[in-house]
Amino acid sequence: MKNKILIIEDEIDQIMVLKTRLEANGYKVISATNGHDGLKTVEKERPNLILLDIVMPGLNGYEVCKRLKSDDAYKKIPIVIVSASGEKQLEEKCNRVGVDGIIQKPYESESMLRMMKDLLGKQ
Amino acid sequence: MEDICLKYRILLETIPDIVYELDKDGHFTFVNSAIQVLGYEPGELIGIHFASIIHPEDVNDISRDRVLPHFRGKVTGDNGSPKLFDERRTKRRMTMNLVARVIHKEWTRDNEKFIYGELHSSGKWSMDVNEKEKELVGSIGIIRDITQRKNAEAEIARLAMFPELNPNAVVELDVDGNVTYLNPAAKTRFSDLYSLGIRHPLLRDFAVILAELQQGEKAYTVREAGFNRRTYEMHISYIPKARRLRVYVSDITERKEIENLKDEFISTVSHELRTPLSISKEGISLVLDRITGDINEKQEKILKTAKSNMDRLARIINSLLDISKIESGKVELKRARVNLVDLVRRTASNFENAVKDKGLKLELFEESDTIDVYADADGIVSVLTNLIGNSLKFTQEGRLSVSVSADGSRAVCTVADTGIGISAEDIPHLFDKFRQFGRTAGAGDKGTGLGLSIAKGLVDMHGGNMRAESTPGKGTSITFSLPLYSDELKTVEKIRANVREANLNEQKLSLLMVTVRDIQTFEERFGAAELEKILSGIEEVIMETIRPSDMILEKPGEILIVVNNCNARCAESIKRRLAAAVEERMEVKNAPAGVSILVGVATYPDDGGDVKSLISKARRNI
Repeated sequence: MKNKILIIEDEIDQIMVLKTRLEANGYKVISATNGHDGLKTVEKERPNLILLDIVMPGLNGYEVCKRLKSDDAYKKIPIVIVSASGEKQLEEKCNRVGVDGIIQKPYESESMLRMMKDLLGKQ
Repeated sequence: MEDICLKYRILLETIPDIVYELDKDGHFTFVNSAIQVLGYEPGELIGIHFASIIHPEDVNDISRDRVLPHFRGKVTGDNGSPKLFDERRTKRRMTMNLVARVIHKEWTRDNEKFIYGELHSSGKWSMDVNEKEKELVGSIGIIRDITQRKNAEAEIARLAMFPELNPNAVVELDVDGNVTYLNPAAKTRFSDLYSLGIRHPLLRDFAVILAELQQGEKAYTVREAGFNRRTYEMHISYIPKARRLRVYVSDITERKEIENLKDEFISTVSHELRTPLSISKEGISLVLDRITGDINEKQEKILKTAKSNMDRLARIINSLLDISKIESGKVELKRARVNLVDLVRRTASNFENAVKDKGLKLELFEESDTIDVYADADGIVSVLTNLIGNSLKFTQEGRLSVSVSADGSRAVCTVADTGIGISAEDIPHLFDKFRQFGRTAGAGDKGTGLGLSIAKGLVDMHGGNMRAESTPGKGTSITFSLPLYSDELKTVEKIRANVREANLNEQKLSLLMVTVRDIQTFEERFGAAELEKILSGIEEVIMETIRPSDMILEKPGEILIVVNNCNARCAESIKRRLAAAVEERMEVKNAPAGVSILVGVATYPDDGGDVKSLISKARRNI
């Protein structure tokens, strides 16, 4: 059974390269381009892991994470923030909303895949 | 009689002023040898009219018509020759200080050779006691050379014009805080400065600044102040001789806005650049990893080059963000007590393989196993990484060395190499942004040109300094120093951080020093354990009643509290509350009778700006 990964990210090109990489590593990939659609997709598709951007129009990544983590139905799904922000407070803010992992852009796909494998293995 | 004559003659020839005698028509009958300064021999001028040694343009100024209206009484003696000032026909000697240009023998209109002379003279009257009306028989006078004084006066007037004409406000204060001078710009911009003096928002820190300049070695200091939604930068200098403070105020509101925009811009741009960078890099990686199909050797080579340049781009963006944060003071150091020797060993070991690969040696010289500093470990590691990395990059043979030692109150670290070195002209620019030296063509880790600026910025933020020495062809050594760790340093730095906050928010803060009354006697009577209990009880009370911004235990038995946004009155009220709360708590806990605390208070900026002196002030106030 392939693991289903949900990418919530507003840049389509970013979704495209991520999808290519993940599918080549045996994952099934679905995506949403904003926070609201993302939440709806979680409900509908029940992904095994979520890759989440922070800066998006409408609901930002922190908000999406907060809502999912406060919902008993979804709080177990591992959430990895994928962010372009270099700010020092990023870690703090992420920890405060219950994020399970952080990837900084530009990323090394090796380490991202490893992190995902670890988080899914714990499920 | 002859002795007296001789005496006067010698005197006349010795004094530097020109001494002369004129007949009643104004011709020279005598002049002393000081006249030589004007190119004349004394004998030359006998019979010549006084006016001939006066500058033609000034003759009228000292003419009788000009001068005499100032005097009452009749004046006689009018024979057609240039009318010079004359003396009143009173029997009193008259001295008149007139200034005129006295010309040199070689004076011409094209070659103005003259001195500024101050003329003093007095009339000579006939000594005939029988005469009812004394007759003027001549005059005696001196000409004093005041050229230097005149030049100085002109210079002062010229300089005085500068503050007057300065479009920026210029203010002068005496040491008591009274405004002694305001230039026109100051009067227009800050109309209440005169009436408010040091109560004016701009001069809020007057006492602190005065103390700093009077005690310190700095000739001047720069301060920022804001009010009425504008930001001002003040350059303040202290003139010890005149006991005055001079303040030059410039409006930097626009400059600050631009700086803020610049920071925001860099943050936004860095953020914006990272996403396409990430997409491009992953795109290239996907092809390189053959996920889109096989590729040939040539394609692989080109894509690898592309990818490593993506990485380089990422490094540049990160460095840009770093240096921008450092320059705008937005970097928050996480300082702690760290062993510098440890950090050096750690960083050096990261380079072991690379050094070996290049056929070089890396040596460590440690004066001791432990040299503690109060620093941000990651920051220092990045400094060391940059320095060692540079040495590695620019050394083809020989060795790299890192030495750490303690020197007085500082920890000193030197990274040296036997590399290609840096020329004398390049050394002053070494820490400039985007400067690259000895760019090697060919493959290799290309730098960002920002590494050394960031390294120096970090060291500066720790209160240390960095300098470089090099001999082209022989090698380079870069040395940086950091303050050694001490509890006092940690305390001072913590308080300093609070003071910076207070400044940013334009608030005051207070330091309270708390200790137990007669602490030594107490300890002797009841023992150290009991004292310890009391002190922790006091700490609890402090945390509950005050919730201070910071509580520092600097010395055993002394608790230092920092309360933000707290002025002198607030501090006094805290003092009372604290004393009462402790008393209550001691009763409840059945503490030995008579335990009471002493509290000393100091407020920033009222009691000074220097943290160390604030602490001693609080201690003295107990």
